[in-house]
Amino acid sequence: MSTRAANSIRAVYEHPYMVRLCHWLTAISLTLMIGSGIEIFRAFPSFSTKIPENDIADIPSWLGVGGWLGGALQLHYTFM
Amino acid sequence: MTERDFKRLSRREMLKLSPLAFAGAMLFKTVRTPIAEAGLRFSDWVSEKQIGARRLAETFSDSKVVSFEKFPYNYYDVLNPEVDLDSWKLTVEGEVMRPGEYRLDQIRELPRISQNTRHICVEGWDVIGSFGGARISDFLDMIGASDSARFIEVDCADDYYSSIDMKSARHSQSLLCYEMYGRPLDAGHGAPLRLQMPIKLGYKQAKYLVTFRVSSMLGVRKGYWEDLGYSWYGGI
Repeated sequence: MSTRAANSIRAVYEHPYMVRLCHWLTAISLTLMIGSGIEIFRAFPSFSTKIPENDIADIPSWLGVGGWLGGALQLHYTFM
Repeated sequence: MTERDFKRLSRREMLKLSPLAFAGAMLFKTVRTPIAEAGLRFSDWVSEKQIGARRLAETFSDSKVVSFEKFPYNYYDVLNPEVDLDSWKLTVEGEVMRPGEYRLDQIRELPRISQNTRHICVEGWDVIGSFGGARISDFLDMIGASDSARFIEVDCADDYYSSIDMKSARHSQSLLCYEMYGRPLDAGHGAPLRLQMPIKLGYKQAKYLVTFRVSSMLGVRKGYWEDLGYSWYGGI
């Protein structure tokens, strides 16, 4: 490939700015929705035999976003 | 990179980086907290306007109700704040025509409503229970609550506190509950009197009531869990 040919390669954005902005805002929202959703899911308590928890998956805490149920709910509602 | 390239980058690229900058800003608590709280307030506003206290919560037949033994005790501080039931009185204050201290038998004289409804906790569990009591609405008429009052604030024997909007309080299924499963409330479930509103989440159902305040404005203390970050409206 000649230098000239290489110089003629141009990257072209196919989507307008608005589409790309919305795409990335969605990406952020989705990440926070999933993270806070995990935190909300993790808040389910166990009342031993009254309401057992043992059939629910144990998801590691570092996957959750929001710190605690209240914080996660705030983020979840905000980015809904 | 030539200087010209750099200038172009600083304009367009910076604009393109704005979502990333926003994501980065969200990592900081000082930025995140006001945004998330504003989002929650908006969500509360929408629920109040759109869902409101217009519809009825689902009621269930006796066969769907869990046994009393299976109904969990949930509490924030102590399970039994050792309320002296014999001397207990509900202090009514605020924008009412007849403030003062009300005995339980005065509340029991109001029409007794019994309903099987679902108690739903924000943590994700729920139980169908049997509750009995007087409509908050009837009690508000008894104490002569002002028509212009917008809120009810309650204080509890275990230092819990909460507040509700008048429309939810006036809902036909919102009770001042003194019975569960046809028996007087036990200490763990909030004896002698608690709120029971099937259109609200569990943390709004304050137990061990001692003060019932009718007001037009909410103070800084809106509710124990609400002040920590849960939704104030707490509707279902």
